[in-house]
Amino acid sequence: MNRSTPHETHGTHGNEPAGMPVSRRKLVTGVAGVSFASVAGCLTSDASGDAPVRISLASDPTDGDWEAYGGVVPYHTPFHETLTAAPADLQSVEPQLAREWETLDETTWRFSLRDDVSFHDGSELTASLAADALAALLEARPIGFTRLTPDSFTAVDEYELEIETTQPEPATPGNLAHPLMSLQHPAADEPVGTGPYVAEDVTPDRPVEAVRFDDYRGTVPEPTLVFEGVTDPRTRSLRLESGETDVALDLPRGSYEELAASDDLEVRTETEPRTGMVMVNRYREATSDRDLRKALQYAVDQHELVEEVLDGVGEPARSPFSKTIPWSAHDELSAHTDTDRAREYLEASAYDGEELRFIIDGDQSEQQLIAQEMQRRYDDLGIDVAIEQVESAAFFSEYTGGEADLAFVELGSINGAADYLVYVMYHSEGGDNVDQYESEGTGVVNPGEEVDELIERGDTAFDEDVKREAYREVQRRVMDDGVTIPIYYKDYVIGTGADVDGPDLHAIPHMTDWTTLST
Amino acid sequence: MSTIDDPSRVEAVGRSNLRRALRRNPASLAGGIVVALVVLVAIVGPALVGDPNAGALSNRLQPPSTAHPLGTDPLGRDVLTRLVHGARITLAVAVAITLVRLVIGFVVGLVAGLCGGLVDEALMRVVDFLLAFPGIVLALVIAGILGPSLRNVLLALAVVGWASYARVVRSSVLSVREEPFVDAAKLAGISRVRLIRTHFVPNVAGPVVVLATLDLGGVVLAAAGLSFLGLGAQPPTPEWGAMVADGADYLRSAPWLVNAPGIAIAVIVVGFNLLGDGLRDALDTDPTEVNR
Amino acid sequence: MHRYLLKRLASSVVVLGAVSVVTYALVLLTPGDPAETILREQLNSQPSDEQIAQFRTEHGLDEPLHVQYADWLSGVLTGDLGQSYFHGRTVRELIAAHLPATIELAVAAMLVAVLISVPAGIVSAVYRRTAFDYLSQFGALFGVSVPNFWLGYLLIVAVALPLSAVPTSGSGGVSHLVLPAVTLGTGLAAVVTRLLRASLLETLEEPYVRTARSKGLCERVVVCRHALRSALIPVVTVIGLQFAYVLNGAVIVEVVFDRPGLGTLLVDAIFARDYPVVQGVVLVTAVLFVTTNLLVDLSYRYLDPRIDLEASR
Repeated sequence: MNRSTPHETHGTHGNEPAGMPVSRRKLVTGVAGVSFASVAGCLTSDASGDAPVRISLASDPTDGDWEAYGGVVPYHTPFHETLTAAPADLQSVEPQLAREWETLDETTWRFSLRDDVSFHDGSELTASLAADALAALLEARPIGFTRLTPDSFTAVDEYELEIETTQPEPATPGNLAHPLMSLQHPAADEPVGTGPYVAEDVTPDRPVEAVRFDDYRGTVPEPTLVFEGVTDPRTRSLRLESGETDVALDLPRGSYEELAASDDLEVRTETEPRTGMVMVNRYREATSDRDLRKALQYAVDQHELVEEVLDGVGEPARSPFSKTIPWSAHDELSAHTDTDRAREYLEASAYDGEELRFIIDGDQSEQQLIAQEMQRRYDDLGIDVAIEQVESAAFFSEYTGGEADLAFVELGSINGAADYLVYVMYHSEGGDNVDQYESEGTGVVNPGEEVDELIERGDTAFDEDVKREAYREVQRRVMDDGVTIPIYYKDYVIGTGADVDGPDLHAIPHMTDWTTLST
Repeated sequence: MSTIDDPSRVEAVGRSNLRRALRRNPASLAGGIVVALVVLVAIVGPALVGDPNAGALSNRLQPPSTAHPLGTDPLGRDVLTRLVHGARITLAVAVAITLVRLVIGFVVGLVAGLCGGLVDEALMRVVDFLLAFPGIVLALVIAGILGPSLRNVLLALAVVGWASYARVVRSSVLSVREEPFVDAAKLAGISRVRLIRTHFVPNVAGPVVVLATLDLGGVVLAAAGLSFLGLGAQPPTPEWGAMVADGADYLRSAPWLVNAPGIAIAVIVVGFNLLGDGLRDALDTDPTEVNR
Repeated sequence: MHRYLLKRLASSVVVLGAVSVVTYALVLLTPGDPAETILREQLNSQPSDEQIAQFRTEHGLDEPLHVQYADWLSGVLTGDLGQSYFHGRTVRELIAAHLPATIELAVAAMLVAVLISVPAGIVSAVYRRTAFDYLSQFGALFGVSVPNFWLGYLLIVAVALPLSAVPTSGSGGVSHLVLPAVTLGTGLAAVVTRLLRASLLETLEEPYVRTARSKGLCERVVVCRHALRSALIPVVTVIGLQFAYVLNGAVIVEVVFDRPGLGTLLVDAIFARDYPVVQGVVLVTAVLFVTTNLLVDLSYRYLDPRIDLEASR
C-alpha cells in the first residue's frame, strides 16, 4: 500500500491511514464527513484493496530503547519470533523457531531449529545466525530473569544450537519464549526478524506499519496492520468508540460494559497470568505483627471488589500467582474474606492506631478505587490507612526501599515460565527484597530462610512435580504469613470494531498472534 | 516587560466608596455573593452533609436522584457530599497559596523598595525571572519532583506566583517615598515603622487586595489543573480537580462525575473574577497587568 | 534602540542561565535513583548491580554535580541537550518531534481567540450596555473561568464522538487541531475581548474619532477605519504576551486530547523521572517565552513609536 499520497498528513497516532474503513460508522452528514469519505474512497482503490487495520497499543511501539530489535518493541508486534513459544493456555512450552530441545546436562541445552525459516532480508535462519542474534541481544542489554550470557550460545551444526546456562535453569525453554528473547538479524539496523509481518518505515513516535511477509512459512492474511501507541486507556477507548482505531488493547475495565453494549464493537476479555495484590511489609514497625497482617488480609472482600469495582472483569484471587500459571495453588487455598476473623486478629494484635502508609502506582485508576474501598473497610475495623499515589517511576524504589506498609502491585509473567516471579517476590535476594535484605538484613515481604530454600528447590527442579510442590508450599506459607493480600487475577480487555474478525486471544497479550486477525 | 503599573494610580480609598462602587456594579455584587456562598458552604457545609467517604459499592454510579442530587461515584459515595467537602479543600488551598504569595511578595517588594540599590536590582531580577516564565510549567516541574501531594502543589504554586505582588508593593513603596510628607515626617523624627504603618500600608492595601482577589480565580484553576494531572490531592480527598480526573473514566456512562466538579470550579472562579473586577473598578487601581 | 536591544538581550541570557541552573538543581534534588527505576521499567524485572552501574556510567551520573552541570551546559551551548533515559533517543530529537504539535496548537488557539474576540470586542464596544455587550462580556468571563480540562472533555463527548470528522485525540491534520484549539482559545479569547472592548471604548472618545464622526461618516467607517486601527495596537501586544498563557494551557489541553506535544512530553518525563527531557523541555520553553517577549517588546515599539522603551524598563 502506497502511503505517500499528497493528501496525507503524517502524525503520531491520529492521522487516518489511507483507506480507513468508514463504512462501519454511521457517517454523520456534514461537509467534513462527506469529503473525508471521498478521500478515503479514492485512496482505497489502491493495489492491495484491503484497508489497513489500526491497532492501538498501550505504549508507542517505537518508544524506548529497542535498538536491539531494530527500533521496535518486541511486545505485541508481529515482526520477530522466539525459539520457543508459550501456548495460549500457558500449560506447556511449544516449539516455534526451534523444533525440539533436550538437556545434555544440568546446564547445557541443545535446540534443533527449523530449516525453513528466513529473515525478512531473505537470509536463512541457521544455528550460527541464531547464536549471533541471541548473543547480540544479551550484549546490548543483560536480561535479568535468565541465567544466560552473550557467551551461552554455540552453533554445533547447521541447525543445532547449544545453550549453556551459568547455573542449572530448568526454566530455560520457557524463558526463551519471552518476547525480549526475539531473534533480530544481528547485522540489521531496521527491524529484521522472521515474523509474519515486515515493519515498514520505522520512525520514532510514529505508528509502525506491518506489511505481510510473503516468504513466511505459514499463511498470513492480506491486510496491512498499523500499530500505534496511545498511552491513556481512556483515549484508547474513545478512539475505538469513535472509529479512529480498529483494535484497542488493554481497555479500562470501567468502560467495559459501556463498550460491550455497542453494536458496532466487540469487546472480549481474557485472563492473564497476572495478579493484582497488596503487599504487606513484614519488617515495618506496625505490620511486623502477624496478627495485624492477618487482620488486613481477612478484612478484604475480593469477590465484591471484582464484581463491583472491576465490573466483573477479572476473578477474585486467592493466591499471589494467577490460576493460569500451572503451579498456582489457587485450587487449594481458601478465600481469605472474613470480617469476624479480621476483628479477632486485630484484637489479638498490638496495633494501637498508627497510620499505615498504603502506596499505589499513580497511573492505575482501578487500583486507586480498590485501595479506597479497602481503606474504607479498614477504617470500619479501626485501622487507619493513608493512601499515597506514587509516580510509576518512584513506586518500586519506595516499595523495595521498605517505605510503605502496604503497596498495591500488579505482577505477572510475559514468559513461558513464571519461575522468576516467585524469586523476585519472595526470595530474600529477589528484586523486591534484596535492597533491604542486603542493607538491613531484613527485606520487604520475604518470609525468610525456609521459603528461600523452597524457592531455590522449585527453581532448580527439572522434575515438574517437585517444582510444583515447592512453589505451592511457598504460596501456602506466604498466605499464612499474611504478607500478601491477593485481590484479582487480571483479565485484560480488548475491543475490536465490527469490521474486524479476531485476533485469537492469548493469555499473554504481548504474544497475540496477529495472523489470526482478518477483515 | 514594558507594562508596569503606574504607581500614581494607586490611591487609598475609603470603605464607603468601596461599598458604593460595588453597589453600582451589580455583576461584581453577584460575584461577591457567589464567593460568600461558596465560603459559607465550605465553612458549615461539611458538618451538615456527613462523611465524604461513606457509601456502599452496591450503590455505585447511581445517576442523580432525590437521594443523591448529583449522583454517586464508582465507590457509591454521594457526589454532592464530596463536592461540599471539596469546597473547603479547594478554597483553603487557594487561599493558602494566595496568602503565601502575598506574604513573600510583600516582604520582597518592601525590602526592594526600601533598600534600593543593589538589593533592589537583584530582587527585581528574580522577579523578572519568575514573570518571564510560564508558571504552570515551572510549578509542574517543582510539584512533580517533590512528589504528588496537596502540600507540594501549594508550595510549587506559591513559589512561582509571588512576583507580581512584589512588583506592586515595590512600586507603592517607591511612590510613597517620593511624597513630600515623607521628608516632612523624617524631619519630624517619625520612625520608619510608623511611616510604613500610617502612610504606606493604606496605600498599598488596595492594589494588593484587588490583585489577590483576581489571583484567587487563577490559583483555583492552577491548583485544580495540577491535581487533575495527578500531582495534587491524594485519594480519597475530594479535591475538585482530582474529582474531574477520576470521573473522566466514566465520561460516557456517568457524566455527572466530571460535570459536577467542573461546574463547581467554573462557578467559584467566575465569582472571584467578578468580585476582583468590581474591586478593581471601585478602587480604581489595576495591578493585573504585571500578573500575566 | 541598539542600547535597549543589547540590554534586553543580556537580561534574556541571564534569565535563561538562571532557568538552566534552577531546573538542573531542582531535578537533582529528587529522591530515588533514576538508574534503577528506569532499568526496571525497561527490563520488566529487577536490574542487576552491573546493569545499574553501566547505566550510571553511560549517563554520567557518577560525576560530581557541578561537573554534570558543566557537561550538560557545554552540551546545551552546542545544541546537545543530552540523551533521554527512557526513550532511546536524544532530547533534541524528542523536542524536535514534539515541538511542532505544540506550536501548531498555540497558533491555532491564537487564531481561534482572534476569530472570537475581534467581532465580540467590536460589537461589545459599539453596542455598549446592550444585550450584545452583556452577552459577550458574560461569554468572556465564562471563557476565562472554565477549567480547560473540563471543557475539553465536554467537547470530546459533545463533538468528537458524534462527528466522525473530528477526532478525539492525537495529532496530524487540521481536524486534530479543532477541539484542542477551541479549548485553549476560549480562555485567550476572553482576555482579548475584554481588552479590545476597553481599548476601543477609549479610542472612540478620542478627538480625531469625534471629528470623523462629526464629518458625518457612517458609524461603521468610523469604527473600522479610524478607531479600530489604533485600538488594535495594545491588543496585538497582549496577544503576544499571552504566549505564556498558551504554553501553560497547552500542557493540560495536550493531556486531555492525548496530543503528543511538549506538554505531554514534559508530563510523561516528570512521571518517568526522565530528567534530561525535563531539563530540555523547560529550557526550550524558557527560550521560546523569552524570545517571544523580546519580539513583542520590539514590535510594540515599532507599532507605536511614542513609547520610550528606555524609560519603561
